[in-house]
Order: sequence, then C-alpha cells, then structure tokens
Amino acid sequence: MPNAPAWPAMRHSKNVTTLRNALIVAILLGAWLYGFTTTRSEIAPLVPNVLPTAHTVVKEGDVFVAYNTSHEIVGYAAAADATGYGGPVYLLVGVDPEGEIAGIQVIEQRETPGFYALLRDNRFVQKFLGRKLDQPLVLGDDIDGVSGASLSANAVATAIWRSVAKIQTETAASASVPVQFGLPEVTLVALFATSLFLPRLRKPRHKHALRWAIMLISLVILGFMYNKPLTIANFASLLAGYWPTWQNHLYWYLVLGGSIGVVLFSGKNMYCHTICPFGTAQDCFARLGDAHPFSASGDSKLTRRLRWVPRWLAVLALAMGLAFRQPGAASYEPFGTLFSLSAGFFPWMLLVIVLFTSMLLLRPFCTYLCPVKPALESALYVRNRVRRLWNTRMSALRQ
Amino acid sequence: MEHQDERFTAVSPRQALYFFIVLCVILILIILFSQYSDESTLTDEIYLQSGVAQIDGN
Repeated sequence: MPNAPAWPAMRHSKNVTTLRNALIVAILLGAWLYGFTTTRSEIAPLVPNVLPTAHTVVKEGDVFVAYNTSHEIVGYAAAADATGYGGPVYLLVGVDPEGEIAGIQVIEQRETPGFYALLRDNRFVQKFLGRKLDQPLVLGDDIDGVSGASLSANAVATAIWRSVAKIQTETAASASVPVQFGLPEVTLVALFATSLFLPRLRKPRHKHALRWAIMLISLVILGFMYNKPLTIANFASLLAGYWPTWQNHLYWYLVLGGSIGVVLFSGKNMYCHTICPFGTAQDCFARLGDAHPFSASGDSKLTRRLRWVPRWLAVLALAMGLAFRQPGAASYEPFGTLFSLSAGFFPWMLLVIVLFTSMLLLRPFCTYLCPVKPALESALYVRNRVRRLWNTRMSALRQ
Repeated sequence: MEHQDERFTAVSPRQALYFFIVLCVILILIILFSQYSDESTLTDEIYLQSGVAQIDGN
C-alpha cells in the first residue's frame, strides 16, 4: 500500500505511547504496593522491647501508650524513620513517664553497611538513652556526631527526634529544631533563580557566559564541596514517602522542589541543562577533547529507541527502590564516585568510561543513561498534557 | 594517496555508541543489583537505659 494515509500510523504510535505510559505507571504502582505490604510489620508487639515493664499497649494516634499490670502508664513509644546516606533508618523509641528516653529499637535500617558499622562502633544510639524529652537533640551541639558517618548519624538522630516529637505532641510538651540553611542551600536557590534568566538573555555570548558561570559554581560547591547533586534516590524517597524533616534536610526539599518547580513554571528542564554538577564535569571533558553530539542523520526510529534507554533505567531503579523500600540503593549515577572519589570497582569503571566518552560525545551520561532527566521530563510531560487539556476545554467553552 | 591498514575494519559511530550504551547498561545493572542484594543492613537491635540488652537479628 504505497499511498497509505498518515493518520493510522500516528494513531498506532499514540496507542503505543499510551500503553507504554500505562505500563510504567502500573510497574511503579505495583512496586509501591509490594513495598508497602512487605515492609513495616506491626509495631505494637515491639513496644515492650523498649519499655520492659509494659504489659498492655494501646495505640493513640501515632503513639503507643504502655500500661503495667495495675493499668498505670509506664511510658510512651513511637516509631519514625529518617533517610541517611544509603537508605532509611527505622526506629522505635520508648519514653518513661518522667520524660526520659528509656529504650530504642532499631527496627530496620538500610543504611550503607560501612557507615552504619561506624555508628555501632561509636555506640551512637546509646548516647540518646536517658535524654529528657524537653532537652534539645541537636547533633554536634547536644549529641556528639560520628566522624566519617555524619549523614548516617544525622538520620538516626532525626528518626529519634521524630519519634520524640510524636510523643511530645501526644503529651503536649514542646521542642524546636534549628533550620539548616547554609552555603549549599543559598547556592542552590541562587542558581535556580539565575537559571530562570537564561532564556531571557538575547545575545548568545551572554547566555553562554552565564550558563558556564552557573555550571562552574555548581560543580565546585554542589559537587566537590558538598557532594549534593539531585539523584534518582531523591525521587524514590519522595515516592516512597520517606520525607526527611525539613528543618535539617532543607536542601532535599529545595533541590527536588526547585528542579520540579522550575520545570512546571518555565516548561524547561533547567536543572539538567545548567545546574547539574555532573553535566558540567562532562562538559569540561568535552572541552578537553573534541566532543560532538551524536547525529542519527534522520533516523528518528533510532533516536526514539535510544531516548527510551534512560527512561527504562529510571523505571527499573525507581521500581526497585519502591519495592524494597530502599531508595538510597536506587541511585546508580556515578555522581558520588566523582565528587567523593570513593566507590567500588564497578562505579569507578562506569565513571571512567563515561568521562572518557565525554571527550568524544557531548554529555553521553545525560543523553543515554541518566535517570534524573526522564524523571524531570515526566513532570514536564504531565505539565504539558494538563495545559493542553485546559486550553482545549477553555476554547470549547468559549465556542 | 592515503594508506589504509586493511587489518582493521572501521567502526561506525553508531556501532561505537551502541557499544558504549550496552557496556554502561551492564555496569549499571551490576551496580543496582549489588546495592539491593546487600541484606547485611537488616538488623533488629534493642538498646535500653536500664540494662545492656542488645539483640542482633542476624
């Protein structure tokens, strides 16, 4: 059929896209439900572990009230989690009627083994025992941190603080945690704000200079100084419901909210294009070599097929993060390997191959492998679909 | 006239790109599965103020 009309092909392609999107949503939903049903078993039977005199346990909201055989209150318990470097730490904290932390149970932790071993060696959890509810629990000030495992120590401290906060709410006590707003947070906000001006600049020379200024600041501060790029683990944590306390993880909210917010506001993925420190690292290597973008020379099928490689990798990483409730392990990007210069053999190999290829091909990781770009593009896709739907409805109403 | 070594067959950019992607995807899958297969992080520890109870589930 040489002169077949174009529309059946378009319709077929639209159907394939719809089916593929439905399959992705089904995979992620299935993984989320699997993770939800297979983790977090009943907490109430564990309460006597942290309050040994407890005989009966009654759940009141988020807090378990423990009674002895004479039906007197012997304490309160609450469970909470917090995300460390590699994954969440889930703790149950028991507080006696005098308001002192009487017991702590590590119900589950998915932290990087090396970091967690450092906490054990330093008897970190034990430092919280005997602390009063109304005493602040600020790491570094009130509780000594653990050198070399600061993020893991922060996660344990945060999980304990969250449990205590639940009990405080129940027993009407009060506590305050200082908000962490330092150089990485200020830099990130400034970079997002500046990146919004980029499309408004007319002269390509100015645009180029500003883009490189943003990229280099990001590479130095967000990359090498603080090692805080946006990773797929951030999205996995978001979807799994592992939302850290905003006071001491403000950066987590800023980097996720900022990158998604800019996509929704401007319709452009400014994070990947301008702010990502690993993208800058690849661009620097491109300057060292003679990198060019790969030209599929009109082969749109090949371009489309290659575009789906990072998308399926992102779906796989997210699905595993949600199914095993281990968002930290979803991150396969070599960002941390470059910025901390420490990793195993395979991450190092991936980094070396990617950086070497960057000298020949423009941003190979961003284009063919990075899961962050598809995650942000999905926000862009939803934005554009909603806008199109809204415009169609509005024009139909006007007619 | 430019001399061409006939012992080697030229690799097209497309083949090189495929090789890069396949190699990296294999590495990524190894990294992902090794991160998830580490079960040593599952614990069940109890710390008490009055006592030294510590139970390791592993």
